Amino acid sequence: MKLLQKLMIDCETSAHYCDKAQYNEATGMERIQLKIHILFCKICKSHTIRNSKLTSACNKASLATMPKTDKEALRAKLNKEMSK
Amino acid sequence: MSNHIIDPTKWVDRYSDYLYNFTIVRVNDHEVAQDLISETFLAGLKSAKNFKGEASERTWLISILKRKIIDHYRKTNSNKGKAEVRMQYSSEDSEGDWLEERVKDPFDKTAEDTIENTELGDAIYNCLDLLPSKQSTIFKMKTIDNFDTEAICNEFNITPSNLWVIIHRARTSLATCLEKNWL
Repeated sequence: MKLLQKLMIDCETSAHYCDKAQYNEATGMERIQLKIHILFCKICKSHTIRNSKLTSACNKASLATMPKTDKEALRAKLNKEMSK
Repeated sequence: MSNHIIDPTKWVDRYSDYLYNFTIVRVNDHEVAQDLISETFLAGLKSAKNFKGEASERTWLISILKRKIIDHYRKTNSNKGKAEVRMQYSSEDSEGDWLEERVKDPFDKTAEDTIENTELGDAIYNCLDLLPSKQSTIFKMKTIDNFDTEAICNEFNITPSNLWVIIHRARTSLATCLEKNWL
């Protein structure tokens, strides 16, 4: 009975574990709890599917950001040019 | 009527990631991308007085950047560049290994996929622009740059629970926006 109680989580916790799972930061136990929760909760199930779709879209698009050091160099260059 | 105003002091914070992503998928070279963005900003600064405010600042910068990218390809394809045979080896050890060059492209990756992924990247960045700046920065650090939760928390002086709330809000807004504009 205690184990069953431990395995059951609410929707808010499930959303949190779902986010963590997208970054591979959810523990094994959290993954099991999430899977059990979405077996019974349709809303969380659709949220999980949607969230996973977003993750695969981000991976597929192979997004890139400008490295911080390059940003600083660019900022300095721009400031220098503006002060002329 | 001019609706948009120009503010070069915010360009790096606001547009550098978007422009970088836009450029890197088109030129596939970090140094070249960096140079093109730098040239774009400087050209923008020079012609700031010509900015009519009809388009947004970002659209205006992108139109300058597009010209720069076209110029870059024109330059590399001119004269001697055209006649050069460029060999790309997967590593230094495989230099001269012609078999490496003969391996066919994977079945599941086509030119259409590449174009689609480039457009998807642009769509994600467009949606990221609609988020509050803190949410967007944290999402980018966590999702694109793969920073540790702890590192982001230290940088923004927030707790891990705060971080996950921000990530959750960003992901929800982003999913909604992409459903409207992409799917």
